[in-house]
Amino acid sequence: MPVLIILGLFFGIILILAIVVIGMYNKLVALRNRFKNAFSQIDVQLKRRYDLIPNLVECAKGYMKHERETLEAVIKARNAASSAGQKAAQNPGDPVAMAALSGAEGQLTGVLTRFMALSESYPDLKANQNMLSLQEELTSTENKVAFARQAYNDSVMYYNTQRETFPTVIIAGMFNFQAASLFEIEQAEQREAPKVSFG
Amino acid sequence: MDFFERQDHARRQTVRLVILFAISVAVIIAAVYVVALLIAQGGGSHAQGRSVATSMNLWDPGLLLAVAFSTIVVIAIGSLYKVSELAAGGEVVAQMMGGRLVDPQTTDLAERRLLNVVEEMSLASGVPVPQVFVLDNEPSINAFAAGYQPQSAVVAVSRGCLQYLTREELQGVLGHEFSHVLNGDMRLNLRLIGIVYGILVLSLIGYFVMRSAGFAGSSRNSDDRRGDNRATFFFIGLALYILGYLGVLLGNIIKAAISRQREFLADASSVQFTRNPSGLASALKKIGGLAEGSRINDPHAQEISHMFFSNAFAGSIFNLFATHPPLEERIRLLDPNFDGNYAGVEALPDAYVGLSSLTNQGAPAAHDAAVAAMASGLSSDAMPQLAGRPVSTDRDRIVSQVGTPQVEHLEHAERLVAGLPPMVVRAVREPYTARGIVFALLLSREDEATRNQQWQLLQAHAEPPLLQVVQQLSEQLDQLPAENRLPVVDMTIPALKRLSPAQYQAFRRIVEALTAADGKVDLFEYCLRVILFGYLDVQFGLRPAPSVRYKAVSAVSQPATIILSALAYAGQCQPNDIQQAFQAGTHDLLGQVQIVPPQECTFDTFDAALGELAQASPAVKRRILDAVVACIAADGKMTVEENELLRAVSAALACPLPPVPVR
Repeated sequence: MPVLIILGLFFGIILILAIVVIGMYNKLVALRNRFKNAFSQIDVQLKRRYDLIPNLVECAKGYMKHERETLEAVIKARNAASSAGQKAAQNPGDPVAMAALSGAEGQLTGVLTRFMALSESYPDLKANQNMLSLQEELTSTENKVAFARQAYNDSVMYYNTQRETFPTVIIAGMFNFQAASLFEIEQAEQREAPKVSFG
Repeated sequence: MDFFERQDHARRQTVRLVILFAISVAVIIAAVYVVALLIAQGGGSHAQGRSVATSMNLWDPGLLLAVAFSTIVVIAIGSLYKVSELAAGGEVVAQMMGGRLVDPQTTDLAERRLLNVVEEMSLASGVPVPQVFVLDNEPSINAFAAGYQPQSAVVAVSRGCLQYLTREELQGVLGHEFSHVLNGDMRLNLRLIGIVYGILVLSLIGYFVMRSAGFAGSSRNSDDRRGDNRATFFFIGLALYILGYLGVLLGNIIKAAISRQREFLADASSVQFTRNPSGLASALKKIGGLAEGSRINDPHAQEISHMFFSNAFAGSIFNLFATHPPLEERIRLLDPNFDGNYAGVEALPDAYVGLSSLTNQGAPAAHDAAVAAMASGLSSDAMPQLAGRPVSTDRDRIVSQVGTPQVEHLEHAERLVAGLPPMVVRAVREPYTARGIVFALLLSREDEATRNQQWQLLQAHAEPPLLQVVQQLSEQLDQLPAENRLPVVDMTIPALKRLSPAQYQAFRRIVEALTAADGKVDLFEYCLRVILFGYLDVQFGLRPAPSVRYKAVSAVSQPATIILSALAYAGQCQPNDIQQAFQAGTHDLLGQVQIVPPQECTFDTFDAALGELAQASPAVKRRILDAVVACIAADGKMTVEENELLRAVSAALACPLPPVPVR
């Protein structure tokens, strides 16, 4: 009989442990999926933005003949951001990919702001219907990116907090749950850019 | 059989399931007991060199108790664990199966078509639009619906469904899945998984014990006693492992037996829904003709095999384990002339992908001529004429429609979506703009002062770019016929589900502030809140899903009286009419009761009462809805406001009510 009691206790402890471990593991997986899904929302909006930019440049080309450099810089920054975005979409939350993306996005935003500021001095371009609607579309897409980014950052924070708290941290270590990176666009670039163009 | 009976039927199946399951647990306990007896007594007597058979005492109550207790505890904990895991929502199941959430703004034609079909079907059946997943790794044709209740339901289809099925066939398949949602099968399905999993845990423990006894202390020169113990542990493990697997086998037989019946029911409901047996039949024929058939490769498929549209595994000679009736039998029921020969299947060319059946000229004409004429005559600009007209009502008809969508509801939904301005359709699909839709709908159309006040609220709490969106949307939405406003709210739900919890909290606060801006909550505002928060609060974990607590009308007489009093006050102005409406509602349900004074019929008490009623059994809910309809229809007509209130009550009671078609 003592064998049975020990056996029972042994089973009981193993069982409870297994259930707790599985529960924590599943929770982490669910949270990881959630932030990956949240990234896909950003991805959709970013792609739309990358599609709009060449049209915008194409439209401006006819008017801004002397701003070749700026236009090329916009396209270059757009291409860099687009490929960084593709890499990040393959592995959302990966620190390297996310840093590359937020760097490239910061660049693109800076260059775009300069481009917009420059286009102010071309009244014909400003009055162009196509240009106006493209700008409007671009702005609304950027707002959506910001909103989706907020949702993504929320879910990343939640996942990271869960991952770092005891006892989940043990499970996270055992099964190699990596910390996820936030997606932040470098604000300094954004704020400085207009000053540069006006200065 | 109507919705409530089918729900009850599903619940009875659960009872039957529990009994069958109890029997199999008893069998397992008996088997474990015999093994324990052999080890406890056989092992001891062996050492003394006596014959096992003669000395065995077969009756050892202490041992039996210990065995029964530990077995039941193991199985119960295992089952509860799995059920609680799955209760988190269908999302978990879909992700477990490797599903990818289809982006609501997708531009992929096949995915767009899938989302359109799902959207129309949910509007037609009155359930919130579920999230849609695609199983990218499955080239076969299969699908499943999961989730504990309609609020957290998801629908998943395999890649093959997108590649091979036409719109009509897709409708047939999704109609089948929606019937599972509406028939209460999903809850039953999750319980089945949980129970089998509980038994599986037994076997997993056995495996673990066997392994650790087999490998631990492999040194050959350990003393006899430890070796003996190790052998004992090994055999206990082996026995548990084998018994557990036998139990899982037994569980799977039970699972399959119950599942097969529900499949026929779902097929029948799908045909009733789409009134197009050829769509479903030809989808089934394509499964037969496709080399991959409906096979699912993901290893988790075993667990949820009974939730799929068709068998997830290759046909087995043991019909005992088949979770679905044979393909041919299902097809013959839909198409008696089927000759048993499956034609080869080829992927559809992109050009064939019809986005809407209204524009799809190549579609087989399943609609009868009158309906088709109606559909073509009803262009988007013809719709506003219908606004504000009293909606005719027939009380028996309305309640019998709950959870039983018909083809006219599907067509109504298709027309509704087709009649919406493109900007609104785009906006409902993005989390960012879907909020704008809700805000714009809440802006007062009658009272300028309230509208200004609401604008100030929005300016204070919403980000400026969103204000512009709200402005644009409200211009479009103000022209929308009143009866289409709540369906638009339904359409925003999948997009709103993608908000982060913090964003939802902020959104929820603004909605509450907007509805309370003028110091009172009007009916539409109230209904919008009930529907929106009812579905989303469960999703974001702010409210637990209701479970059945009341099985008799007498147990809910208090909340029912409040609801019916409030409805009577809301629908009528004259004291006599109020009394009459109240009597009409309560007469059959509660007999002679006193109406609650108006000051006690606040939205708070109404809310609390709805919360209580949500915990009633399907049979009780049916009688309550009957009473609600009787109360609303007491004066012989149903206004759009009353219609909205009815929708809110049915949403709160989780009785999906198809939109009442306007004629």
